[in-house]
Amino acid sequence: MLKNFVSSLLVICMLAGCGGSEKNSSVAEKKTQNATAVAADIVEDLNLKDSMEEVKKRVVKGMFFQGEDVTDNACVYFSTTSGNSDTVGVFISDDTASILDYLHDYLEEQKAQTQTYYPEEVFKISNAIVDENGSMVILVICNNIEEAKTKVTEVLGK
Amino acid sequence: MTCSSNKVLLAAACLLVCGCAAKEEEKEVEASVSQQAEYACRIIDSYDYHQSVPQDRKADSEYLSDSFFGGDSRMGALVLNGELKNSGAEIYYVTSLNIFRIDSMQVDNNEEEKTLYDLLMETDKHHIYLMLGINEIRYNTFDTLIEQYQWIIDEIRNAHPDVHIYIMLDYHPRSVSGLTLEELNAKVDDVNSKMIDLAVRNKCYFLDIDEALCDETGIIREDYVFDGLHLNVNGEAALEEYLLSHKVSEEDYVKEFCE
Repeated sequence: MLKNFVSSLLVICMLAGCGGSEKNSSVAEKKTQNATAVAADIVEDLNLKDSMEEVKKRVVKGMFFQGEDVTDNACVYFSTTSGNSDTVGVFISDDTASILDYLHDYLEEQKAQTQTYYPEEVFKISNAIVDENGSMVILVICNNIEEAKTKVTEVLGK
Repeated sequence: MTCSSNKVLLAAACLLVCGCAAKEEEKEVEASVSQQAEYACRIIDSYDYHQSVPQDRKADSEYLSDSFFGGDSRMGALVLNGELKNSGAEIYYVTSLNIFRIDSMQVDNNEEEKTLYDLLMETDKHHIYLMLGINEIRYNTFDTLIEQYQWIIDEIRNAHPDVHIYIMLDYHPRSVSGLTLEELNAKVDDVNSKMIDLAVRNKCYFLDIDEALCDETGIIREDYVFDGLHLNVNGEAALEEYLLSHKVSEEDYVKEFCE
C-alpha cells in the first residue's frame, strides 16, 4: 500500500511538472517566435505562396514604420502582381498598440493611393484583417477574407 | 708634380665639380618644373548645385540617345505622348511606384518584367533623370524617403561612376486623394526642399519643373493634367520642352586649369 501511495505521489508530481513545463514552453515559444516563420506559414496556408514575395527589412521599416525602429522581428509579404494589394505582415513586439497605430495609418495611406491607380483594390484594403494577442500583430489583405480571418485567429491562439 | 700642373688639375677639378653641380641643378630645376607641372593643373567644377538646372542649348539627338528617364506614373506621360520616346532615350515608369519597392515593383509594359532598379543598373546611358516621391506624399515625414533616395543614388553611382543624375522635383499637383490642397502644397514643399539638399550633397542636378508647369497660384495648370496629377498631352509637351532646354553642359562648368 505504501508502495502504491509513493508511486501515485510520484506520478502526480511528474504530471504537475509536465504541466508546468508546457506552460513555460508556451511562454518561451511566444518570446522566441519568429515573424518570418509565422508569415511564411500564413502565406502557405492561404495558398498565396506562388503570388507573393517577402520584402526586405528596410522596406518594412520605411513603408510601415516611417523609419522608426518599432520592431526588428517583423516579416511582410507583398503580391508580385502589379496593382494587387495582397499583403501578409507579422510584427512581433510587446508594444502592439504602437504597431496597430502604424498599421492604421498605413492602411489609410494605401486606400488613398490605391483609389487613384487601382480602385478595384480599395474594398480589399478596407476589409484588411488586423489582429493582435499582446505580443504579435498580424495584417492580412487578400480576397479570401473569411479564410484569412480564421487563420489569423488560429495563429494568435485566440 | 709641378705647381702649374697642380693648378691645371685644380682648375679641371673645379670645372668638373661645377659641371656636376650644374647638372644637378639642372636636374633639380627639371624636377621642380616637373613637379610644378604635375601639381599645377586642377579640375574645377563651377556648377552651382544649389540652383535648379538653368536654361541651356537645346538637347540634340546625341544627348537624348544617351539619356535615361525613370520614375513613377507621372513619367508615363513621356512614354505615351510627345517626341522624347522616339529620340533614342530610355523611358520607363512604374504605376503606383513606392520608392522603397523600386527593386521589386515591375516596370509597366516591360516584357522582361524588370524593375526600375534592374534597368538603372543595366543602362549604359550617361544622363539619368529620376522622377520619384509623389506616391509617398501622404507620409508624415520624408526622412526615410530621402534615405531610400540616397540609397538609390549610391547604387547608381556604384554601378555607373560617370553618370550625371538629374533629380526631378515634385511639381505641385492640383489634387491628390486624401489630402487638402493646403496639406498637399506643404508636403510637396517639404519633400522638394529635402530633395534639393539631397542633390547638393551628392552633386546631382535638380530640375524645378514647377517652372514649366505651374500657374500663378503655384500649382500645375488645369489644362496640363487630366486628374489633377497626371499630365495630359499639353502637360507632357510643356514638360518635354522644359527638359530639352534645361540640361547641364558639363564643358561649360568643368574645366581644367593649369598654372
